[in-house]
Amino acid sequence: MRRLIVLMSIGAAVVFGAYVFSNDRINSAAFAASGGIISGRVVFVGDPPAAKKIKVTKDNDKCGAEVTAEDLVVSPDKGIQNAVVSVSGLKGTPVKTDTSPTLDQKGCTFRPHILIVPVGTGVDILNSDGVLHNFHTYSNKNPVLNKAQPGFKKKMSETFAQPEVIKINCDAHPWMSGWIVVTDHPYIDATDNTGAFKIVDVPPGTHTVEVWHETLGKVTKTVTVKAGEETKLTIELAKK
Amino acid sequence: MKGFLVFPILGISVLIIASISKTADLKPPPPTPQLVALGKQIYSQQCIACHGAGGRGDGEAAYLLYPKPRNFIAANYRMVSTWDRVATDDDLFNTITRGMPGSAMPSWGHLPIEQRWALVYYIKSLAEKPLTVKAQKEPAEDGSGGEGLIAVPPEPTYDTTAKARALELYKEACASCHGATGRGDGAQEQTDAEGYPIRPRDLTTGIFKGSPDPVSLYRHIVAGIPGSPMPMSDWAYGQDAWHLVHYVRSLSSDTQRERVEMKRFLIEAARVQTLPTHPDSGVWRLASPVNLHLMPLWWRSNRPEEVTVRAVHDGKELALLMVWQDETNDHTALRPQDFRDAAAVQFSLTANPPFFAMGDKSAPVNIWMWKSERQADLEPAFQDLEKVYPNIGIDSYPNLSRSALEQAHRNALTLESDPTFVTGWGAGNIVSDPQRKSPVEDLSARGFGTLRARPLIDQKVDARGVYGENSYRVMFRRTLKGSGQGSVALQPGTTVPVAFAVWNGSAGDRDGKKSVTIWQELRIAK
Repeated sequence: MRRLIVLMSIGAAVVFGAYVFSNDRINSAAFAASGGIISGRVVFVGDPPAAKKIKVTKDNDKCGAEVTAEDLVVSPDKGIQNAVVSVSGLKGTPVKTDTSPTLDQKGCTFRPHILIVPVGTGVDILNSDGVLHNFHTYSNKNPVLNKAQPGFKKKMSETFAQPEVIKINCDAHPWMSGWIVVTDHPYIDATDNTGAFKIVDVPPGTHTVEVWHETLGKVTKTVTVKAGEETKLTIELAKK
Repeated sequence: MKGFLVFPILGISVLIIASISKTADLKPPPPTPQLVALGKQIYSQQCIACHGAGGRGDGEAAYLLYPKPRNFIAANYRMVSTWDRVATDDDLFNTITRGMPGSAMPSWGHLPIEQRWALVYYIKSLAEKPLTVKAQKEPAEDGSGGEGLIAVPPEPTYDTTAKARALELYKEACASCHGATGRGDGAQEQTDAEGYPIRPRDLTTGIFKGSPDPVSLYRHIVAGIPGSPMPMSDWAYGQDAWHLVHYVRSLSSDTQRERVEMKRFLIEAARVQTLPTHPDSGVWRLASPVNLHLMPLWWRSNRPEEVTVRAVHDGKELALLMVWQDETNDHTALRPQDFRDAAAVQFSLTANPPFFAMGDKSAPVNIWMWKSERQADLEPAFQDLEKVYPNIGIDSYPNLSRSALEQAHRNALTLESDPTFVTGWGAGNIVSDPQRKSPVEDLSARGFGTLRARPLIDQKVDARGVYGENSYRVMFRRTLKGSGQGSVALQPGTTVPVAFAVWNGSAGDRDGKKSVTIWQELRIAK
């Protein structure tokens, strides 16, 4: 009987914890009733160039013979993957997930290519390849990191204190490149492989939406968001 | 267990001795405004040519140098011994003292300790973001979260178990870039933070940018080298980093490691009865050879590492011998793509020498430069352009519709031409004179781009160079007194600052692309 009570209280704590955690969401959901959604696609204008293939010169058993460059990934219907869409000038607490954001080094590529991370949240950096990688950041506001992660070090954790778009690479495999987008607000999303994005709980009003892509640059667009409504956008990017 | 304890204690005492003898950080003077001002003064004399007046690494000589001089404003230092990868005062002091082998940063260990600290405080004052070293904080078990100076644990013994562990770690964590055998041949193209190409170090050559002493090396392995691809290896903190220190040091020898440090040596010019008349003369046995360390300004791995210098005098004349290794005898410079081998001796005209590269505006230097193709011109014959490009001199063809008397003259420049109408030759430029009987030029310079020949009547240096056995032996001779203004006076009983340079033509060396020593001391015996 006693044991049961203990178990029950653990259960209650778990439930309570879940509740506390999701409280943020509930609040934002309540808020969302008065907020709107910005969704849509980022598309390429013109004929996208063929994806670049890079010959792999080492660790071929883990990295393969060649990798496809991810500096511009366009779907057959011209959706641009890995563009970052954000609403400028809004303040808010970034959405926290129940697990740490994870960046994996797999097949000698960064997975995902773009990782959106709330400020001050630990990022789990995994090495699924089991060969030496070095996690090298090129940042201005956050300290520059360059940490060796040999195959036996499966996981390490790094925290970024300042909002910034940070380029990352691996000097052992120079073709590897990725981005960590550190954000101090929740109104941000990276496009998926169809070029689609969705930003929820946006306060009603007129906002500037900014789209950034690593090779196509930045584009801004003004949108008006109405409470409880979804504003659809198609944002076009072209090669400069 | 007892036996185990003895080793760390031994290790600590070894460490203490090592750190005292290596780093002169006994007690740094406080950074007073006077000391910063002194630093500025030394900086403007010794550092400005490469690091620039504003400290942005953009001095007059910067274009000749690779790796590039450090920018003191951005202050992204390579050699750091902290978890936060910020250079400590000791890091800066040690870099100034030892220089940075693998770059054109020479050692300044010959400057008094106070002056080196003055430089540390001055260059620190240039940083746009102040260099602050956090308080020491030990990292967690996995090596993460350390702050401040990296504490170095006592040195463990390097036994067979430790070696096996070192080899395993090297394979897992280092071989990817430094190569399986440590030759820096991991397959990848890399760039530094400024975008310049950079290669992993060949660990068998003994070139260590930071000090190879075990404690410094330990910190450089753990902290990595900021601005380069060399990453931090916090996971190695503890015993593993020590094993790697031992393994990496075992790939090169003390001799190799010492040879890459640019140091000041003393060359004794002994007094002899009869001066040598040839580079291979037996008289040279009376002079003690000094091996001087050379560094290429544009760093490359295939380079002359040393030049051996001997000097003697007979009270009237000085004879100086330079011997260095060179696998190719590049003695023609006729085609545009050819460059000659050469050697030069540079003298300061003042006891307190100016900047070691070509002097400066206020303090000219006297340079004797020997050129291999000038030597070849003397023995056996002048290397005429026709030798490489036969019939290049034919610049007009007979016009068959005219008479022989009306044909244009052949007017290529040859030895038969009248010097009056050949500008350089006519003006007495020694470089343009095809009949010159000396392979050496007596020159003077007041900084970069100011090299010029001294007057014809003052060209009194004699030289003779021979090549064989993959090496050059070049002898210079000149009267102690010299001739004319701007020639160095070599009084018996005095010490003269002297520096050397060597060019390897087949490596593309010419002008500012060369290997040099820093100022050395030439003592002329009474």
